Amino acid sequence: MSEAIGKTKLHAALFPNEPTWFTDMRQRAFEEMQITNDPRFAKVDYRNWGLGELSAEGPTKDLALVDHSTDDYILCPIAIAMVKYEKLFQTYYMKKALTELSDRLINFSTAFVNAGNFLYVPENTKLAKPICLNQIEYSQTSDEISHNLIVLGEGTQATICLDNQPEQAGEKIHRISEIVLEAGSHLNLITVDNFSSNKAVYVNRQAYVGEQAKLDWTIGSFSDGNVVAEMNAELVGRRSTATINNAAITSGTQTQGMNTRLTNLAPYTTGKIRQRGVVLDQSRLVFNGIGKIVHGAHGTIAEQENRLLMLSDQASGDANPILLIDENDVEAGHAASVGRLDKKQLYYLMSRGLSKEVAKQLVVRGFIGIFAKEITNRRIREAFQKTLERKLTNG
Amino acid sequence: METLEIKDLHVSVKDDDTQVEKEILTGVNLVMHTGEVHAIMGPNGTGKSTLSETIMGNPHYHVTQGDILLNDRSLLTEPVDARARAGLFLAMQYPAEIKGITNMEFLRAALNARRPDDQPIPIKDFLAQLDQALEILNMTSDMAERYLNEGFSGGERKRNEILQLLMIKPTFAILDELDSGLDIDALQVVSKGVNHVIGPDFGTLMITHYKRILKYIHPDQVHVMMGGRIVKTGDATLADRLEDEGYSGLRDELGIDVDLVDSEV
Ligand SMILES: Nc1ncnc2c1ncn2[C@@H]1O[C@H](COP(=O)(O)OP(=O)(O)O)[C@@H](O)[C@H]1O
Ligand SMILES: [Mg+2]
Repeated sequence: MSEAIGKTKLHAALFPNEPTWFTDMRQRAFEEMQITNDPRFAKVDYRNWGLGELSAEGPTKDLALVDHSTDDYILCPIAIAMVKYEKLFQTYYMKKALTELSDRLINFSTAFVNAGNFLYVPENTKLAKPICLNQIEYSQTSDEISHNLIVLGEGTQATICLDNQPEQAGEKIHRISEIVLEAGSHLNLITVDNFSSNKAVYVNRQAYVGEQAKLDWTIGSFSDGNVVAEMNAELVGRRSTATINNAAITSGTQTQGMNTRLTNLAPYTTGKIRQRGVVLDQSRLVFNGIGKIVHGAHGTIAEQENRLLMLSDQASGDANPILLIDENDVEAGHAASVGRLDKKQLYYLMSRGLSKEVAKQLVVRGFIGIFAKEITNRRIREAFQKTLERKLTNG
Repeated sequence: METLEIKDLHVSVKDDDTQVEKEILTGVNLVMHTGEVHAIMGPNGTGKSTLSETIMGNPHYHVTQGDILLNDRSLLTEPVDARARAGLFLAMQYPAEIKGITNMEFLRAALNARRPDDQPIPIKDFLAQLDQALEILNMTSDMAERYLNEGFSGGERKRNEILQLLMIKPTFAILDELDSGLDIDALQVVSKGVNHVIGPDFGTLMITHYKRILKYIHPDQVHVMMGGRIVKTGDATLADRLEDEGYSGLRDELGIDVDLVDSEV
């Protein structure tokens, strides 16, 4: 790509009244993009999905620039945030959760960002009601290239969900989310991806977990198209904890490859990854669970469990747990399995009169549904279950 | 009155390790009617569970000869779920654990399997039945919300099998070693559950190693199984005799050529 063409394209994605520091950051990412490599998703080949490239521009929508802030929190499109809440926004945007622009896709997404939300919940706020971000309303071109920034101040408690409309326009999705948990905060985060089969999707979600903060993160990977997803929580503060529960279903001829990472950077931190996947038809699902404990992070716990249930002979799947441990005083463990329906379980259910079909359905839903059942908010839980059900039956 | 009849039943099973098919049941004959309580006693490894599982329709066990008849209709070609809906129930010695499915979901699915698709059991009726069954078994309602048998103690599992029995109300129930691993209190509770369903429209076959449970659930007939078949049938006093003389006494009296591997006989 020549410099000249690149420049015009870069400018086309500018926000109104975009601050110089933001433009500079995009410009830097744009330059880095030319010299960095695509990120690695082990055992997933996504080279011909067209990710990291701009589509022919679709009809430009008017930006729905509405500030949804309340007395309790700031919530608005990043287009507003970078102007109206510039100081705060600048303090966190690519400063804490996502700091390294080390691969081409992240650089591309940063250079051409065109949408996203900024949510800031100030310190010691206890939100009784969940906040749900459904971000397409802020996208200005046909392809979403978005960047969400979610910040919980010290001692804050919140439940936040992030999802999408499956009928969303465009062919490619690039979605970055930064999630920052300041000291002592507690976040229930529910992210559900439900993109239609004509879209190639790249998501990258980075969480920063401060001292004694707690992240409970439930992920529903229910898109119908090809997906590569990078999900990462960094336990930065002492005694912080994070649990990542990922439920994924693949069907048709799609591929989903997920790198799910937890890094223990501080002493007495606890990280748990639990991934469950159901693999149907001719699809492919890959779980790369990556647990890392750095030197000096003593007294930490890192556990992971990656399980795949294969429901078709033509489907393929991989569950790869990777533990990188550079410290002695730790408790680390992993379990991985790629299996089929358990005949003993089916027999037991059928012995009570359930037909084979119903028994199978129950076992599959039981297997993939356990994370949904743990979502405490009823409305979010039911929405999650509905999307899961949609994917299992028509996916 | 309904009848369950086992006729000259021969069953073999493939050894998981050696893949060699071996005959376990060598000609079992048994007739049961509703309104009756039968007990089968026998040493370990003689084929009691094999008989139970074969009647229920576990595909692991192969019938090589004989028949299983429910009201004169052969069940041999029927899969396990059809047999269950026809009225059979097996409280298993080793019920499966299924994480992710709650007891409640499972029980509802089991009751709905017996109803037309468009007439699922109304939730109120279901909960009323469930509450009653839980009370009989001294179980708390949080048991209904737990995942099916997952992390259950031995006693909780047995209770859970009887909870299903109370909810499903089958015609014939086979209770495979319901008493094993239970302390006296738990034994009394599960026996109370079984006695609750015993009546003119229900037949039960209790499989047991020890006489203990027969104090709480009184059998009309006691059968002794050895070497893969029923070698003697009598009334409740037969169990007393076994207790006194052990299986070896009966074996020697009948001149049966089987090894008793159990240390306790
Ligand atoms: N599923 C099975 N696979 C292989 N062998 C089995 C299986 N079930 C039972 N057997 C064998 O059949 C014999 C009878 O076992 P079982 O029916 O469990 O006896 P019991 O219930 O009287 O103790 C034993 O030798 C046992 O090893
Ligand atoms: Mg047995």
